[in-house]
Amino acid sequence: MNEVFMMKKLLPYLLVLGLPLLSGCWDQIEVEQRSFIVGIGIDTVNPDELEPSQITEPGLTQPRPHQIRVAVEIPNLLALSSAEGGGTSGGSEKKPSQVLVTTGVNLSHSITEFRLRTNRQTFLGHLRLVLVSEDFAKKEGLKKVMDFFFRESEIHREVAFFIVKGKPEDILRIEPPNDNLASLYIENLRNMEGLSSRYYYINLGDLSAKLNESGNALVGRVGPGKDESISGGSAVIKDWRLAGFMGEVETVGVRFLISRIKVDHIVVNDAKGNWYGVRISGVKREITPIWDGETLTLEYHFKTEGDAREVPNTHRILDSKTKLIELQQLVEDALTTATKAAMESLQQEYRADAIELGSYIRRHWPEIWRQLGQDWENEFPKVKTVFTFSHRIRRAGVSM
Amino acid sequence: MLTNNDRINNLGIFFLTVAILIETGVLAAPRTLTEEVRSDAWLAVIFILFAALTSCFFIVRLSQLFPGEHFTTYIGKIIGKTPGILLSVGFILYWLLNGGRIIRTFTDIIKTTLLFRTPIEVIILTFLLISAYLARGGIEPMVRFSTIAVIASVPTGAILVAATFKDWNLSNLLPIFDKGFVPVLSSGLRQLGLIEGLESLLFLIPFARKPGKSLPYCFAGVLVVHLLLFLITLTSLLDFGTTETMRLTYPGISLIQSVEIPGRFLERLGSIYVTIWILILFPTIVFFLYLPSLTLSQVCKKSEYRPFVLLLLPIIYLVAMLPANTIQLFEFSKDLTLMNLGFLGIIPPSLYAIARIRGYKHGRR
Repeated sequence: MNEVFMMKKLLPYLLVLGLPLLSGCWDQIEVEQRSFIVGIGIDTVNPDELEPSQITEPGLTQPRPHQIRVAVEIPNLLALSSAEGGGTSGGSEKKPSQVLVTTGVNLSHSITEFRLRTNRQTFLGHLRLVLVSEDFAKKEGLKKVMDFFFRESEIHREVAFFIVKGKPEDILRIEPPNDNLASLYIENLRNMEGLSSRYYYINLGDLSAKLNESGNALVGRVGPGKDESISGGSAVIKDWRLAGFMGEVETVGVRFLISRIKVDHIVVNDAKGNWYGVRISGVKREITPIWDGETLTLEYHFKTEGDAREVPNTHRILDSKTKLIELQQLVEDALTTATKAAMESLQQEYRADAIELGSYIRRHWPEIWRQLGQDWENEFPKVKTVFTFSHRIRRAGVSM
Repeated sequence: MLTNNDRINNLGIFFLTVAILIETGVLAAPRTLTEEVRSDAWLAVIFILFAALTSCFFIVRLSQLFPGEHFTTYIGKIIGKTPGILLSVGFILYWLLNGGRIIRTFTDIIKTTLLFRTPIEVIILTFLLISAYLARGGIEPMVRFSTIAVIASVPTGAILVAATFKDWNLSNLLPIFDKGFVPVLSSGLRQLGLIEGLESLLFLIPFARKPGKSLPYCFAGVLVVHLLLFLITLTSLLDFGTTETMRLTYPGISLIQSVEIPGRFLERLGSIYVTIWILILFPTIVFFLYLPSLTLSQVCKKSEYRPFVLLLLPIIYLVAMLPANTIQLFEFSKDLTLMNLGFLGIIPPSLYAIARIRGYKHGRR
């Protein structure tokens, strides 16, 4: 009873003592006091461009002439909120974001530099886009910078990754007419995957899985234009370095190889010079291996179907067997050529298994993999391939 | 469901089993298993389940041989007084070491994902003090809390993990039994040590109102935990593939970081997920404080266990502070998994066999 009596007496004091705890987090950082980095661009830097103070200073164990150039896009929250509210901030038109550029020995060094330059704490939790220049990916390689992205807990695995033909900061400075932020504009291009297969998209999570597995990967390619980006095609990464690019048609072919076709629109022409438009969807891939103990031949067979979108001078195409078969044959030939070209580029030009063919063989035919897997880098270009397509046009739009 | 007379009904036993068995090990298990058997990690979970159900069977049956008696009382009858006391002390050390390991692992997760600047000492002490408060409350509030924690967190956690489905690649599971059947079976049996906490039933069944009917509820609890472990392991492989799963520190956390809600109305799901795990982790810590305190009080023949809770608090704290870094923590966890295997896979069946050989049934020969 004494204990209960004591507790009753103490309770009001304990409650009063607890009051300061209700005022919230004592060291909280308000949203306006943070710099949200939404896009990062990485490029090479010529040592001649660096100030002597950037290379060495008292206290450093050794000079640091080899640095990277890092650009970040940071939204201007005040400008964005006033734009959404229909007003302007103080009558002046502020840009919705700012692009800051710095140099550093690596990414964590550069991010620290940004923290010192802005009067706010930088935050990477809203990062949407990582751009690496062609020059950097070729000369320095991705290994130099990717570890930061794969290790930093603030960074989401869904962040978009592209190789840039040109300077990444030029992309981050694009002022897209329908978007406030360049990073979001580029990231949203991934929705194009459902509309066209000429474009390639990969996020940091998938890139990490592919690079850590084999060092090879396919990534998307973008380039700066005036108020817009030029996207399409893909980049081949071999042993963490950029080996080269694949054009838009080759990218369609490579997507067939990895069975990552959602929808594509292609144009084909006949011998008379007539051009036809066809939409492709519903792709099924079958791979049959023929292994004679020394040479591996892979027979790829694709079953595709789709719609005729533009067939000039033809009425009731679905009734016209000759015309229908001719058009289907044209599509099959076009797709075979694209797929063959993609495979040849990977095997002969880049000698890089960026399509995870090795993993596919290991998973599906482990007995073959046991013989080829030891020296897969040299065996990959020797794999023979045969491509066949069966295309069926099912519909012809709203007109007969 | 519960009365205030420190008796647990069988549904309470089910929730206790789930709440105690789920801890941080589940988040790292996909990596541990994939390191051993690569793409067959998900199959190894099935063998862990069989091993856990077998262990659970012997644990519950052993308790049922001595209805209403506490472990520290009947262990003397089975193997003699002094060995019985030594074994009880062994269990106390086992809980303290595992409790320290679990709380340290979780502190590392919180420090990496939520509270970057908070010193680990503060996080550990906060956890321990709140756990001690609940542990001192007795078995009834602990069961109530476990029930709430399981209902609130297990379905939410499972849904969040399953939400990664759009990135699943079924071929990541191939080839099946790449290294053969035996390595997967052996890995599954060895990793039984991941399911530490199951032995707690030896000490909790005596509180059951109907101990004779507890076995199906314990089995159901073990099954739920393994379904979650299976889901997280399978999803990690489907989403990341073998190499990436082996590279990630906590694949269970990274999974959620790859979930994207359409329209992006919810971001940073990882933080929500960690918060859910905080809730489900508490019962484990609470029981790993309560059980050694209770056992120590029984060994010392004291009627009150509460003072021992505060007495053992600094020991768990010191254990939690032992590993200097994450690698040391994982090495420590690996060593404990081996020790746990003994406490789960060897001791209960052996004790049951000795008790039966000595003719014990319903507390009497």
